[in-house]
Amino acid sequence: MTEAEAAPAAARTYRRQLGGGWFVSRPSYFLYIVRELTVVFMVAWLAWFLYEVALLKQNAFTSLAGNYAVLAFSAVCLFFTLWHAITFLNLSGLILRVPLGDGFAPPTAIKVLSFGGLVGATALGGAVMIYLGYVKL
Amino acid sequence: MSTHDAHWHQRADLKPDYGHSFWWFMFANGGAIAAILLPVTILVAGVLGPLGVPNWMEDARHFGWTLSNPLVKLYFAVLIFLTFIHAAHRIRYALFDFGVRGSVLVLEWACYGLAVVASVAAIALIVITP
Repeated sequence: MTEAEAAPAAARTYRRQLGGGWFVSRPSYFLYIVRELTVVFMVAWLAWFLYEVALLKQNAFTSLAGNYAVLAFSAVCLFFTLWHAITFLNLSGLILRVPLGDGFAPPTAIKVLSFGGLVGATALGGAVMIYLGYVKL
Repeated sequence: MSTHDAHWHQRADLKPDYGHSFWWFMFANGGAIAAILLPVTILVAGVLGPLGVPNWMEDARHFGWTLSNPLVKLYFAVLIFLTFIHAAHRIRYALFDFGVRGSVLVLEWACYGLAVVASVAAIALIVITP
């Protein structure tokens, strides 16, 4: 028995090393990383909101009307939050498997329901949040 | 003799990783809640409010009155907790994609731990305000 037969060499594999800037090598990689980082803006907006709650607690809250710094910050955060919403809900039809009879509900129906939830929550929630501003206190 | 093992589901090496599945479960729910509820919250309070549209954060009186409602507190507690957990999970895997691949346990404890601590602090603030 030869040495090679007694101890066969381990299979040679090749793992391509990714550089630090791999995500800019293709547009799809870049969009993937942007989607991953949308949470930074979502958390940033909630942190700002909690700061306003803390100001309210200290009786230091002032009206936001005409505050264009808050407007610009929120517009950027809203853009990335919608990016998250669209990319996340777009996968709902693929991921959610809802049993229906002998099979599953069609993915398109689940996706329509998911985006319907976003539109419905925006319309209903928006109406309620704006209505509360007209309540006489 | 059949090679089929009727008790394959009891094999210790095939048991599900409950910790892993728990965080993926929280990630998915957090992503859905944030996708559906966060846009309108930012739109009304952060965009329409500064543009002069009356809303629940119109002034300190409306802000405090609305935030005193237990349902509103619950809304923000759920939204903040699940969004923070979702973000922790995304950042934990984004760091892996950026090449941070050592000390996985430390990374997980740092991300999820920070999210839980921040959520507890945020919920406590919302509960005691106004």
